[in-house]
Amino acid sequence: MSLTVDEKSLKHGVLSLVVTLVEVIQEALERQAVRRMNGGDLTLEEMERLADALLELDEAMEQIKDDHGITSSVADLHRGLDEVVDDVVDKLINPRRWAEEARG
Amino acid sequence: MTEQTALYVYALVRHRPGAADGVTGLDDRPLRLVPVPGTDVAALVHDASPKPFEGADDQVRRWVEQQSRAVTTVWERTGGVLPMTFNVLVADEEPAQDPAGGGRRAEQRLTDWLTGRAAEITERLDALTGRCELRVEITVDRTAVTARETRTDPRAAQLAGRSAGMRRLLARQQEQDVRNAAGQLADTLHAEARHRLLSVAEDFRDRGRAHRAPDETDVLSAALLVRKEDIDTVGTVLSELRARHPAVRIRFLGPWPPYSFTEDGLGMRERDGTAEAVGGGTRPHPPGV
Amino acid sequence: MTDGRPPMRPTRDPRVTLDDLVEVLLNKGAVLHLDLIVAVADIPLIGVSIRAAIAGMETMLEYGMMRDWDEATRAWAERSAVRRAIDLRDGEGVVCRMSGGHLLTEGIYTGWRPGTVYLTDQRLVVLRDEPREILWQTELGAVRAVRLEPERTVGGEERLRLRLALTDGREERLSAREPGKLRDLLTDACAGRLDGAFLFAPTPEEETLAEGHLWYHEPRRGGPLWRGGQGRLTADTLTWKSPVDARPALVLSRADITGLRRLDERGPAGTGGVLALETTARGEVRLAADDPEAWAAWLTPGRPVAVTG
Repeated sequence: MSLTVDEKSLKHGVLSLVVTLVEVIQEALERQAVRRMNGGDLTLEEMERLADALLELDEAMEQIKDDHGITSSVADLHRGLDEVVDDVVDKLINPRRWAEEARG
Repeated sequence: MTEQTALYVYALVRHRPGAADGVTGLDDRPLRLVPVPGTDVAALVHDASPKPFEGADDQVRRWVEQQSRAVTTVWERTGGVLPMTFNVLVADEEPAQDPAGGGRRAEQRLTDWLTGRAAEITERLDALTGRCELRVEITVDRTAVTARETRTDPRAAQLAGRSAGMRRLLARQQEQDVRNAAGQLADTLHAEARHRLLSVAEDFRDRGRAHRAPDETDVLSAALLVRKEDIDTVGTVLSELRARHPAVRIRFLGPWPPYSFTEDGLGMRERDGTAEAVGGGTRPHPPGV
Repeated sequence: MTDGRPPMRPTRDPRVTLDDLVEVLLNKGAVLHLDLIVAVADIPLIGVSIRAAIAGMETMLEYGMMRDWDEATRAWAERSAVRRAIDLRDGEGVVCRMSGGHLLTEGIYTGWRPGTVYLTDQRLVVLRDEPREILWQTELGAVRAVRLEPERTVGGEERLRLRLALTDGREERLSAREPGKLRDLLTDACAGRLDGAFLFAPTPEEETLAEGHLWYHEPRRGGPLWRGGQGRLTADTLTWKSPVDARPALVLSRADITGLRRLDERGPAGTGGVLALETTARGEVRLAADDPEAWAAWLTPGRPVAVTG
């Protein structure tokens, strides 16, 4: 699987890549935020500041994608990355050699 | 085709004269049986040039489908089959490889190779006769899980009033709750389904991932080797499972030739100078439609 | 009856998406060369090692690597916010206050509600700061026993929680920034009235009580197969999962276990390691353990599981 960067515009391609990676990090941040929220250790203020900051980040990302017309290329790239990682994970979690089995 | 100096091998079957009559394979080539002397085994083949079939994805998909249809037809006529992967070609021997100078023809090489493995092949054919492969894919539809199994955070109403960001984070929290609930349900369903399917199936292969929609959680994806008379038993297990929980989604495919259960003990992919599997444009995939 | 659609070629749909992998790395990640910490709104969420990998906040906390940093950052954020104190009764004095929370268990919902824990010379209170509301409180006289209990958080980190038994028979759980200090001060404030020998009930479901390598004698049509894997016991469920299976092959409600026998026969873990569980759902289930005494003790029906600590 190869990730296709738009050849016509390096800026367009690289920007798509960067935005995609930020999206991935953004999703991880949100998961961790929910984890913290469920963990019971955050105060309400902390929770709210966290939530608002994540929303601002999301809005900024949408704005960037919109401004540069890269919404669809980012979506494609994100899907492509998912597939690559999916293959890697599949190889990692499926090694038959981990099996301990015995008739009896 | 300019020269037809190779055999494309589809499968090894019990030799039943006439079983390949009217059956066509890749690009509608007519198939024939090459009996292995002194045995009950025959190879299902057609002539081909000694080059692997290569092409665009769509083309390969079409070929794989044609191969599968041909193997299925002959399997149904003969009862037992060891299907080959895509692009198994046996070519004429290069004269240089043979000290005697002649170089065996493809058909001779194939039957020589099969004769040497006749016992092994017959044993495997016996084990697979009357059996078929079933595919079972079970998932949980998360949209159907939501209402029943997930909790509602009592803080939600109050927190949601605080800001748009809070509402968004709460939505994420809800999403993760649904995922977790679906995961727990999937664990329970998997243990039960696996247990019941193992009591019916003679062999069972986990297939890792199931095909699923984005809002589904995998429960189980497996290939089952099943006696033909037990197909309905598997069907019953599945319909009971589905009746147990509204979020359960099941794909039940087959019966197919035992694609996933032929590799044991057959050195078909080894390079032994006689037969070899040539990597084609796709993995040997049990195709469909 | 059968759902027999025409066979279709399975398409490869991502089962584990990229963010799930990042998540895997975050929670198991190597903690090496910490180069960058990503904090959102002063709350550190992810530590990034530019040279090695992304390492998880939770993992790092587990190793104690970021605790000071985390505490310092949050303390600063807390100081910068305007705090309102608890309404004290006449003659009531604050012994200590620290951020913390109360575990609400209401119906099927269980969730931590954050706020500030106040210990006064009369009460133990969890106060939500904004909007101000007393989330939970008790008179000190109503506290019967207290102890610290580790809780495994989702990220795998162990956190100490304060578990309280009240004189009316109820139990409560509190989180606190300094749980040990709170326990000590609370014990002092109760001035020797606490019941040191109080037996706390088994911990709530979900929490892993025991975990370890276990063999499962998986029944199959062609005869059972001993398979190695991981056994996990919570207050109400026994699960067993092989590393090569996507999900557990055994999920057994402990209420379904009606009997347990140690068998003398030879199993994969040697002679005497085989346990036979009588169950209502599965009939006899056989397991083999390297440590059969411990598993037998844990799995004996009707026996409450003691938690150390």
